[in-house]
Amino acid sequence: MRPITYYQMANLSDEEVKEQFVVRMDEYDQVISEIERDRMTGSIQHYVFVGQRGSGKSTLLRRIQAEVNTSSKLAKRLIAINLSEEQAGIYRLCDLWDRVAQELTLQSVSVEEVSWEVYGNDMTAYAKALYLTIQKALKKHKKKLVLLLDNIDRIFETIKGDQKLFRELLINYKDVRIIGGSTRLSEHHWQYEEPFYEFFSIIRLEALTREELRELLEFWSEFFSEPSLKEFIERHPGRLESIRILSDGMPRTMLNLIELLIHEPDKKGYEYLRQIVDRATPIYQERLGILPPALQKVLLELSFFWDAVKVKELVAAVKMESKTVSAMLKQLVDMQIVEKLKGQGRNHMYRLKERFFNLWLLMTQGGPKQKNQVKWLTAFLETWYDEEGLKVYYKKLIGELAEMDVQKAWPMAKALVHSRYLSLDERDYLISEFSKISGTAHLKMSMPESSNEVFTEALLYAHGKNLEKAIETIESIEQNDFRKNLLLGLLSYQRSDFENALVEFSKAFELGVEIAELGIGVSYLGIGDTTTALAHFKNAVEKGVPLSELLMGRYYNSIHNTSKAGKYFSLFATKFYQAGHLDQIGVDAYIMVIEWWYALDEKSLLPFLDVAAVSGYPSALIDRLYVDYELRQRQLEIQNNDIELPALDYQIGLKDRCILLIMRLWKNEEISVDQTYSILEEAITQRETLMVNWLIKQLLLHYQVDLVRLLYENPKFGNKLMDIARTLFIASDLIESKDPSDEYEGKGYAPELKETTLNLISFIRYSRSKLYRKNESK
Amino acid sequence: MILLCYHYSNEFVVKMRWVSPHTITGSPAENEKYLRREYINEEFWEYVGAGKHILFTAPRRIGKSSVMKDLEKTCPDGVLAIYEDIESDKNQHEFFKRLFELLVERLGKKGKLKRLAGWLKSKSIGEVSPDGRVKFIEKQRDYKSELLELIKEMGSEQLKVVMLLDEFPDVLQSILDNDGKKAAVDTLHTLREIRHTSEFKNFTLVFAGSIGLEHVVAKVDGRLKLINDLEPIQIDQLDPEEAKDLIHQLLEGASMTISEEVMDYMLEKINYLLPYFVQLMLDKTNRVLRKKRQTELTEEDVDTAFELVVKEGRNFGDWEKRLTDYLSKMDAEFCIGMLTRYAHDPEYLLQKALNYSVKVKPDTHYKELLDDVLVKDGYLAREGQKYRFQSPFLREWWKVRYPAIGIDD
Repeated sequence: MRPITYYQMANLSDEEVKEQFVVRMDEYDQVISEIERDRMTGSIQHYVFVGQRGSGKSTLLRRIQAEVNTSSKLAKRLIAINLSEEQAGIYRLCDLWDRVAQELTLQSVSVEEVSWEVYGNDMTAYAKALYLTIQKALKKHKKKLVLLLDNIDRIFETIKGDQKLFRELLINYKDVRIIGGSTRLSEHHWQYEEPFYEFFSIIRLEALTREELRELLEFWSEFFSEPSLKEFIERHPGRLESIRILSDGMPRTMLNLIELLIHEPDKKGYEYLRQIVDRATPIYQERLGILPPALQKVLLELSFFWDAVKVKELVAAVKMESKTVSAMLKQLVDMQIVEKLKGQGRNHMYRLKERFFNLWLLMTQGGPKQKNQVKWLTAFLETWYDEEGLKVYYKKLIGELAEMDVQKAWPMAKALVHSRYLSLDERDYLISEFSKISGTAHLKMSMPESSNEVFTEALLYAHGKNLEKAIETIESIEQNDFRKNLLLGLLSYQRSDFENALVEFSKAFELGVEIAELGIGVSYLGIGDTTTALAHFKNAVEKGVPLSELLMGRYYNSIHNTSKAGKYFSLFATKFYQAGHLDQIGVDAYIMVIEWWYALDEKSLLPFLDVAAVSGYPSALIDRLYVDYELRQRQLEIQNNDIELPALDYQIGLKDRCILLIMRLWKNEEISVDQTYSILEEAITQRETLMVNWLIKQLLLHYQVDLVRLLYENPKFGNKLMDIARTLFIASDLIESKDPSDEYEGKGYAPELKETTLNLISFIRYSRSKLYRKNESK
Repeated sequence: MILLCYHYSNEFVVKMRWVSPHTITGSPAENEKYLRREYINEEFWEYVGAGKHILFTAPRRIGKSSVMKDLEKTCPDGVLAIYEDIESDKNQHEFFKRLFELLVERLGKKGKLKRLAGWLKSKSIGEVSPDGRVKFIEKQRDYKSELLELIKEMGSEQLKVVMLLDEFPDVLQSILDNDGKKAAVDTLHTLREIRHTSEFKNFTLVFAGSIGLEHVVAKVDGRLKLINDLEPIQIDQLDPEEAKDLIHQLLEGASMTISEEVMDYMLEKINYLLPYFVQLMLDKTNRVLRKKRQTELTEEDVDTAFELVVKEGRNFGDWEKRLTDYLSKMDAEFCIGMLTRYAHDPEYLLQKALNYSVKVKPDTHYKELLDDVLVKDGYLAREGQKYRFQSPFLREWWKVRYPAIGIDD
C-alpha cells in the first residue's frame, strides 16, 4: 500500500485534484457556486475556511483553484492564484502583491514592473502602486482574481501595518476575491477595532461525519487498489467510529491511524504505539508550535489531566490567575483544540478535543509523572481496540509477557489491568503473571493489587467501621464483576443505604448470580417494602437458591409466625446438607454472602464453612475462620475429620504444606522454624505473594512476632520478602507498641503506607482478642 | 432547482444543485444584495441640495458603507458623487493628495478634463492623454492648496461634486498620531473652510466612520466646534417590513424557502434588525438547510443557525468600551451592572434597578442612564416597565463576558 498520508494534493495536477477530492463537498459547493454565480461587479463575498491543521483547508483551496483553472466558463473571466507554499517571504503587503504579480506573469498575464526605489521608504505607497499595476494587467486581460491564501491569519499578522490599505483596496475596487484558510478564529486582527473585523464569511471545517469518512476510505481503497482498506471498513465499523472519535474527525490524523491499523498484526504493544505517535508528530508539532508559550503551557497542563477538568483545577496546575486561564481556554476553544463540556452546576469542564492529540502530548511532552499515569493509555487502548480486539490483544500480551522486557511491558500491562473490557479474573491473572517478571519493587508498586487483596483491604476497613473507605477501595477496581457488586451491596446494606444496596445486588443478579436475589430481598426489607421483599424470597426459594429458606425463616421468625418460620428453617437445613458441590462462581458468591451473613449472625455461618471448604475455597475460609473462638473449634473438627483440602489454582504441594502449618498454629501445636523457612522461601520463589502475606499475617495473629522478625532478616529471601510484604514488616514492628500511630512516624516509615499498616494492626489485634481470651498469651 | 449528476469512484450519485441566497457578510452590500431605503437617499439629497455637509453616524456593521456606495451610484443628474474608503492615509499630505488625485481622475471620467487640461499643464501637475486619463507628474507639492485651487477652478462648472469619505475618523486619528495636533487641527480647519466659503459651494463633503468622529475631534481640539456644522444622518436598524423585503430580495432564485411564520420567528430571534445580522442569519440558515438538503426553513433550523452565530464568538468588545470611554466611572459601572443583570435575568425588575443604583451611586439619575444611554444607544429596548437586550447576540456575548457572579440583589 502506498502511504496515502505522505501524499500532498499540492503536487497533483488539476485533473488529479478534481478526481481525488471526495469529502468536504458541501463547503466546496458553497464557495464555488458563489464564484460561478457572482460576476464580481457588486459586493464580493470573501471567505475564510477555519479548521485545525489536517482538517482539509489546503485541499479545499487547491480544489477551488483546480476548478477555476479547468472550467472553461470560469477560466474565461477568472484567474486563480494559490499562495500556499510560497508564504515565507511575505511580510508586508507589497511582498504579497509582488508575489501575486510574479504568479500572474507566469500565467501569461504580464504585470508591469514597479520600481520600489521611487517610493523611498514608503512601502505602503509601493504596495498600492503594485496593486494598481496588477489591476491594470487584469483589466487588460478582462480577468478577475481569485486569491487563495492558506494561513491567512499569519499573513494578517505579518502585514499588520498594511491591513487598512488591504481592506481599503478590497472595498474600493472589485478585482479580487480572497479565499483564505486559517487555524484561528478569534485572533485579535478580527476584533472590532481591527480592519478585518467581520469582513469574511467564516466556514468552519468540523469533524468529518461517519458517512464522509466512509466515502473517503472507499475512494482511497479503490484509487490505490488497496482492498484491505475497504475490507477494514466493512469488518470493523465500530473501530472506524472509534478512530473518528479519537481523531476528532480530522482527515489527516484519521488516515494516519487507519493506515497503521491495517498493518498492525506484526507490531508489538507499546512499540507500536510509539510508532503511531511518531507518525503523528509532524502534524501535532506544528499545531503546538503556532501557539504562544503561555497557551502551550495551559494546553499541556490540561492534557496531563486527560479527563475534563474545571478551570479551578487547571489554575492550580498552571499557576496563573484564574481570569487569565479562562481567557486562554476560550482562545483554545475558539481554535477548536479544546472543547467545553457542561459540568455540574454553573461550572464548565474543559478537555482536549482530539483525544489522540492529547495522547501525543502526554507521550512526547509529559514528564515521568505524567507517563506513569496510564489512564490515558487505557482509554486509548479501549478506543483503539474494541472489546473483542482488546481481549485478543490481552491474550497476545500474556503469551509474550515471559520473554518481554519488563520496562517495555509494564505500561501496556498496567493500561490493560485498568481496562473495563477485561474480566476480573483476567485482570488478576495479568497482575500475577506480571509480578513474575517484574524485578524491581518500583514497577511492582505501579501495578494495582489483586482483587483478592483489594477485597481483603476493603473488609479491613469495614471491620474498622470505615464503610465509606471500604466502598471506595472496592470501587478502585474498574472491571465489572459480580463479586464487586455483591460486596458493594453488602457494604451499602451495612451503611443502611438500602437504595444503593438494591442497585448493586440487582447488577450482580443480572450477571447471573442467583443468590443476589436474596440481597435484593433484604434491601427491600430495609426500604420497608415487605411485599416485594417477600416476592423475591419466594422466587429464590422456588429456584432453589441456597440460603433462601433461611431468610424466609428469619423473616417469619421476626414477625413471630413460628410455624412458618419452622417450616422454612427445616427446609433450609435439609436442602443445605443435600447440596453436593458448587462451581467456582457459586463458591465465590457463597463466600461473599457468608462475609455479610457473618456480620449479622456469626453462628449461622458454621454450616457454610463446611460447604466452602469441601468446594475448594480454603484460603478465604481459613482466613476468616480465626475471628471467633467457637469457629476455631469447628475448624479443628474439620481438620481432625481429615477433610481433604483440594486446591483449585494453587500448586497442591506448597499450598497444602502451608495450610498444615497454619492449622498447627490454630491447634496451638509447635511449629518447625525450618519448615516455616522452606515454605516461605518456596512461596517467594514461586511469587505466591498472596500466600506469603497470608502466612505472615497468621504468624503475627498467633503472636509469632519473633519468628516473623527472623524471616525478614533471612539473608536468602529477607529482601525479597520485604518487597512483597512491607506493611506486614512494619506491622510486626509496631504490633506490640502502645501507640502504633505515634511510633510509626518516629520510626520514619513511608507515610503512604501508614493507613494500611495501622488498619492491619488493629485488625490483627481485634482478631487476637476474639481468638484468645483476655490476658492470655502464648 | 436543477438536478446534476456527479461522477466519481465509478458511481453515479444524483445530487441536488443547491442555490444559495445572495447574502453578503463583510464587504459593503451592493446591487441585489443591498436593500435601498428610499427615505435615507431622499433625506440625503435634500440636505445636499440645501448646501449641507453630512456626517453619517452609526456603529460598525450597520451598513454605512453600503448606503454611501448606493448614494454614489444613484446620484441625480448634474452631480458627481465619489465614494472612497480612505482608511489607509497616514498623514495630512497623503490625505490631501488622495482627495486631489481622486477628484482629477473622476472629473476626467466625467469628461470634464478638457477644460482643466490647460490648468493642469500650467501647474505642471500632469498631462491629459487623448482618452481622458491623467498622467501625474511625480513631484513634491502642497496638495492642500492645489486641492483648494482645483475646487475653485471647477466652481464655474455646472457640476456639483459630492465626496463621500469612508473611515475619515481613522485618517484624522492617523494624522494626529503621525503629524501631531497642529496638523490635525489644520486639516479640520481646511475642511471647514471648504464648507463655509462660497467659492466652494459646489463641493459637498460627506464623512463616515466606524469610530465616532466626535470622539476623535474632541481629542484633537477639545471642542466640537470644528465639525458642529455637519448635518448628522442617523442610520437605524431595519423595521420588520424592511427586513422582510431584504430577505425576499436575497432569496430571489435561491433553493431555500421561508414561510411568513418562520420569517417572523427569525426576525424576532435576531431582534436587533441590522442588515448585517439579517444577512448573517440568512447565510447560516442556508448552510444548515444545505447540509440537510432541505429547502423549507423551520424554527428549529433558525435556532441551530443562531447557535452557530453565537458559537463563532462575535466580538462586541466595543459595546463595552463605548460605555467606559464616554461615561463617568460610576455611570459606566452602573450601566455595565445593569446590562449584566438584564443579560442573565430578562425578568429583572425596575424596582431592583433603583435599589442597585442606590448601592452603586451613579453620577447620573438611574432612569436617565437606562433610557437616554442604554436604550438610546441600542443596548436595551424598553417594554413598559421592563428592559431587555436589543440584540440577542450582544446578550449572549455579554453573558459570557460578565458571568452572573456576585449578583446578589
